[in-house]
Amino acid sequence: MRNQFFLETRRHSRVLIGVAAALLLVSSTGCAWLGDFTAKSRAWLESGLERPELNRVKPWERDVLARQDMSWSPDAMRSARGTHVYFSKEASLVGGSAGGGGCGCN
Amino acid sequence: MKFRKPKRRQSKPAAAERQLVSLEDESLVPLSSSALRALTSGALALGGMAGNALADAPVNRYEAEYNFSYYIEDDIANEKAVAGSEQGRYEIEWHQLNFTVPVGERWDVGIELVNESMSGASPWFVVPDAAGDPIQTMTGASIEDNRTDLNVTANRYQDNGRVGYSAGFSTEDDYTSISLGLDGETHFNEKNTTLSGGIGLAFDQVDPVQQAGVTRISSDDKKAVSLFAGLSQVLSRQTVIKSSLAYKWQNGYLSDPYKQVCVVALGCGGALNLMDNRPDNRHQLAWLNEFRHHILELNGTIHADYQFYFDNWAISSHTISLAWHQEFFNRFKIIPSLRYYSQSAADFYTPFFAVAPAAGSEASSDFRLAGYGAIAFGIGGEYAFQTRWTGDRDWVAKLGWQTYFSSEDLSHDDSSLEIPGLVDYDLVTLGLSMRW
Repeated sequence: MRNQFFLETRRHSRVLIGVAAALLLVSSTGCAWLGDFTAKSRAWLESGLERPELNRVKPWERDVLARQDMSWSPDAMRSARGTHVYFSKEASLVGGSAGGGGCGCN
Repeated sequence: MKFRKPKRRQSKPAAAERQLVSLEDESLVPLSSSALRALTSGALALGGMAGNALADAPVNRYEAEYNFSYYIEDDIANEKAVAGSEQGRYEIEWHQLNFTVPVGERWDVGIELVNESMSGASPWFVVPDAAGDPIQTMTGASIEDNRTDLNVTANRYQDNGRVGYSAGFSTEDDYTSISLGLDGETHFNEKNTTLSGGIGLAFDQVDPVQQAGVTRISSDDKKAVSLFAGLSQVLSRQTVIKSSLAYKWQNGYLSDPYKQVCVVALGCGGALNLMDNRPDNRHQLAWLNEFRHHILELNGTIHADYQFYFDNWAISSHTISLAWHQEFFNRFKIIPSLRYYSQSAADFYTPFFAVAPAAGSEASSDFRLAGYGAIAFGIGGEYAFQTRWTGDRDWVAKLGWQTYFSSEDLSHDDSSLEIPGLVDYDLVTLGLSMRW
C-alpha cells in the first residue's frame, strides 16, 4: 500500500517538481513572453487600480503601518497553529492563503 | 538617543533603514524630531507586513524560532457518552521549529518543521439513549499517532512585489500529504494598494490502521487545488484593510475511515454500522475581511476579522476574530483575543439512522459536520530582550493560552440537533525566537 503510494507520489512529485522548476526558471530569468504578459497584465491592473483617492499615505508616513502588530499575521507560528486546529476541528476553509497539505486529523 | 524596539520577525528593516537614510540625506521632507522619532521607531519596529509597509526586501538577519504547545481536549461528559466508553479525549504535544535565512539581495528561504504526538480517544459513532437522545461512542484510548510536517518556502522580492514558492511534506502513521504552492503580490498607488494571489496543490493518501471486527477501507487518496486572491488598501497612517477570496476544490476520498453511522433498527456496533460516506467532491469558498488599526495614544493595535464561508455540502459559516495587541515599554506585549465561530450542518450529517437508508447513501455522524458554534478566548504575552552572553542577538520569549468551547446553541443553524461529540479544548504555548 505504502509502496504503491510512494510510487504514485513519486509520479506526481515529478510532475509537480517539473512545474515548479519551470515556473521558477521562467520567473527568475524573465522570458520575453512572460515579461510581455506581465507588463500587459500590470498595465491592465494599473488602469483599474491606480487612483489618486487610493494614494493615501506617502512613503515617509509609514512608521505606524510598518509596525509588526499592524501586519496581517504578526506571529506566523501562532497563525499556523490556529489554521491547523480550526482545520482539524471545524468544517470551514481557513481563508487568507492558498493553504498547504492535509492531515488525518481526528 | 537610541530607540530600541522589540524586533521579532522583522522582515523589512533593511529597506526601511535605507529609506530612512535616503529621506534624511536628501531632505525631501521636513522632519520634525517627533516625526523622525516615529519614523525611526517605525523602521526599527519591524515590518512583517508583507507588501504593505515598506519596500519589498528579504529578511536581513537570520531568524530561528521554536514553539512548544500542549493541546488538550476536555473529557466527554458522562451523560453524553455511552456507558463504559473511554472519556479522555485527544491530547497533543506539538513542536514547531522555524528558520528564515536571507539569500543574496533578493531572496529569503524559510524552513518550518512541525512534530505532533497525539494520543487519546476520538468520536466513533452516535447511538440513541433510552430517551432517544444521541450519545457518543468513542474509540478506545488506543489511538496514538505522530505527525511530522516539513515546509520549505522561498521568496523572491522584486521592485514592486514578491513571488513565493512553497513545498510541503507531511507524514503520519496512516496519512501522507505532499503540497506545492505559488503566491505573490504586487503594489499600486505607491504601495497603498496591494493585490495578492496564490495557488496551491495537495496530494494526500490515507492508509487506515485496521482493527479486527471493524470494516475499513485499505487505502485511498484525494487531491486538492486551492486558489486565493486578495486586495488590501491603506486607509490612513494607522489603518489598513484587506478583503480576500479563497477557493478550494477537493476530489477523492473525503470520508473519515475511523467514523461510522449507526442504523438503530439493525443494532449499533462496529460490524453493523455503515461506514462514514461523504461526497467525493467538495467546493469551498471563503470570503475573509481583515482590519488593522493602531491607536497611537494607547500604543495598541486592534485586529478585527470577519469571514463568511460556504461549500457544496450545504455548510455555511461565520467567523469573527478580534485581538488587541498592547505594547508596553517597547519590550512587553499583551495580546488578548476573542473568536466566535458558527457553522450550519452538512446536508448528509446525521447522528444515526432509525432505519437503513438506501444503499450507498451519503452519511456522516462526525460532529465537525454538524451545526454548532464555538467561542475561543486567548491571551498571549511576549518579552523582547538581549543578554550579555549573546551579544546583539535579539530574543523574544512568548507565552500563550487559548481556551475553546463549542455548543449547538451557539450555531446560526436553527435546526441544530444535540451533538454529543462536540469538543472543548485548551492550548498552552511556550516559545522562544532569536535573530542574529
